[in-house]
Amino acid sequence: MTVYDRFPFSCLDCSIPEGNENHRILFAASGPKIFSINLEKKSNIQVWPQADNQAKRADQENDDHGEPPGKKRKLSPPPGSPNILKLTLSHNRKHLVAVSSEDKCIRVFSVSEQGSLDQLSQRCMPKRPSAIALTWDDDTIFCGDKFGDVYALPLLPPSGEPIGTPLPDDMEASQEEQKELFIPSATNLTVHTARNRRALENQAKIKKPVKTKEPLKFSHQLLLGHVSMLTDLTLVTLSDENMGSKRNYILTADRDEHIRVSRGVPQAHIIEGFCLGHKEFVSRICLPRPEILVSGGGDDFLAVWDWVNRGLKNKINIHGAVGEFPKNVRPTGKGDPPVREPEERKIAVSGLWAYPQGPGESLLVTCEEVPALFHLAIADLESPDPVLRSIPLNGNPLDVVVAGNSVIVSIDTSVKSSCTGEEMERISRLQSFVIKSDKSWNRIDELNEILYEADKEINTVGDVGSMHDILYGIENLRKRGGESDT
Amino acid sequence: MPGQPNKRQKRDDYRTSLSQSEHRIQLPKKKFYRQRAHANPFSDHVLTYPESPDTMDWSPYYPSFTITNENESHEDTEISNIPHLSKRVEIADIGCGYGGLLFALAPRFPDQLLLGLEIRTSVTEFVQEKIKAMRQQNSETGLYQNVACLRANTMKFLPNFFYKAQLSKIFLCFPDPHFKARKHKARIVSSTLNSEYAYVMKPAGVIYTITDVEDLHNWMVEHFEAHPSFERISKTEEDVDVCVKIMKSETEEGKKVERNGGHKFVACFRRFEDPPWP
Ligand SMILES: C[S@@+](CC[C@H](N)C(=O)[O-])C[C@H]1O[C@@H](n2cnc3c(N)ncnc32)[C@H](O)[C@@H]1O
Repeated sequence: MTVYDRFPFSCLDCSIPEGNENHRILFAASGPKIFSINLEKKSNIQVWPQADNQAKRADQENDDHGEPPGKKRKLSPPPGSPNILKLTLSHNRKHLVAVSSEDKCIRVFSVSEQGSLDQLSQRCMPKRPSAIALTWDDDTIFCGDKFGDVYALPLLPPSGEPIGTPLPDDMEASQEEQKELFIPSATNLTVHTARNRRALENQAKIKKPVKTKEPLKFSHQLLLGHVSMLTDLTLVTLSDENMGSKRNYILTADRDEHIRVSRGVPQAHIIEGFCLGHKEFVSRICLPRPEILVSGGGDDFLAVWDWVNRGLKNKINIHGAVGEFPKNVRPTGKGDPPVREPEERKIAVSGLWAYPQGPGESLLVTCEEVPALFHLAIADLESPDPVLRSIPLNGNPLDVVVAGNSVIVSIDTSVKSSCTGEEMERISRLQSFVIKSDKSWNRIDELNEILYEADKEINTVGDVGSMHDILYGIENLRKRGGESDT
Repeated sequence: MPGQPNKRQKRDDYRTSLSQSEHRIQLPKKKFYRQRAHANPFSDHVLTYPESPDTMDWSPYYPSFTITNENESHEDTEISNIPHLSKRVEIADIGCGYGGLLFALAPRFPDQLLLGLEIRTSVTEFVQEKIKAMRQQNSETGLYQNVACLRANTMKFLPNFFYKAQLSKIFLCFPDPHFKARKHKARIVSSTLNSEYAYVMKPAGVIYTITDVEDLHNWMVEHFEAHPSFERISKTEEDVDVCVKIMKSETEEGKKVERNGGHKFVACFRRFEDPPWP
């Protein structure tokens, strides 16, 4: 039997107008929908996409004046719509980039003053995007994918280019493959295995080029590639005081323990070096200060790097602090999960964020299926024994956004932690905290009230269990021995 | 491919007896080390590789180049306990197969360390056994002390073994062609992988390629020429390079092609110095 739970918010971003902190808009994706939540006023929510029939009906039914769309609607996402996994707002807050999983698409929206979204383009990538970043000038999207390639795409496709691409059939690899000319690939004199000979014979039979894939129908540039799943991507600019010049870098992390430092465009083919020291996959990298890189993944430590010189500055053990919280896993229906001994407890870092506000300056850390938000003073990153503090949560954190001095956390209420089902129903899927200069934390009542109201109004429900692998994919990056060799 | 039970038994017996025998003067027999031709470079093989070049212990591979450290460092870090070599590997044969090229090059470059990297376990073991035997057979001259072979997936882990700008020569001899377009990402040459070769290479270092598959040759030329870190070396320069000659005649694949009267396509590429930052 399928259980319908309140659908969690898989990802968040926030618009904070400069000098006008009182006009914040939170973007939160739940399943295939994106909600724009005004953080200063209750009941001021917009939703994308608007034009589905359900929404129209609901709007007609609730057509009280000024009732915003999205009010009191029970929406279960139409089957087959792609789930949104990542949201990135442009630095000028005028565009929102959304990545969806099933169709591997990058959608770009223009964002109105009020936060409503208007889709400008939809570009489907050859492989599922797994990391995304925007250049400082907001001109270019950098997109890393499951197969390790990083592409640059213009944020706004040049005029004349189609704004929506049809789903690619089976675009298997980078563009280069399309250049394949089908002259038989080897002569009959070539010595090869039976299998190759067969492939060759088949090629000879097919006179016409075999269409293996559609070329990407939009401007894009392949910048670099790992032969491994790309897990995170960060762009950074350093200014060189001596030369008065600026240097752009691309930092990329992968499932094979690598963190790569490459030069920025137009020299992205030059690898400056690697930060090597992880023993398991790297899932997240974060720059709390331009010259300091923190990385986390399947190891029970966070690594702190002087990434410019590729030096490992510190390893911060997080096993103790994380181990205080029992893993909060979705029941499989096959009885309770076995209780693991603490020493075999595996950690999978699912998020790292800088909380750069004033004296509470912290690094925020989440781990997969651990119902807590950890924080660590940025000033302590290089000290021998930094204290990892925790904020207990009443569910698993899925994403975090730092909105001025508030931290907003998306909580998956469909995985019951210690609470009963009924209690879970009342827990808000969006909660906010502040970290104070003495490193203690507080809930922000005013903001939480708005988030609580928004949570009540946004009544998305669905079979969250079927989304499990998409929402909780980090631990799956761990290698399990692999194929045998003989 | 797993052999017949008794075939496999024979092979295991052979290999244990070989590794236990006191006088390993005999060269290993290839027939006991054959292995399915293709290994998937994308899958998680059970591989051992160092966390970083700093943590790689080369001493078992090049024992006679290992420095025995008299003034023991008292720092008890993992890295400072690793023995050092008097020099670094500078010549790498990527996908070395049964190692024909390595055994031909080693006596020609006695002052350099050569390393073969091979993804298939049995084939790697064959080369390792052959190195042992060759070293013993040549104990008077000390030949073959400068050559070693290890198992690695070079498409993923080159930067774990080599520092930036460490290598002066890389050989890519008769790489698996991966004919089907769908499999082209498995090719050992691509615009993105070429950046990794450039990373581990010294400026002015050379990549040597040879294949009997014209299409693959064109592919390699196209991708290296398109890469801003490489330029193709002229035919005249190629012709006088002793490595080109050896690569044509001494690789196992090269010999097979010779026997069958096939063509061999050679292309070599020099690594440029990195341009200044923009
Ligand atoms: C056709 S053989 C050529 C062997 C040898 N170079 C010669 O010319 O005789 C290609 C070799 O490359 C190896 N190989 C393929 N992919 C590899 C990878 N990613 N890392 C290391 N070796 C690889 C294969 O196992 C195979 O032994």
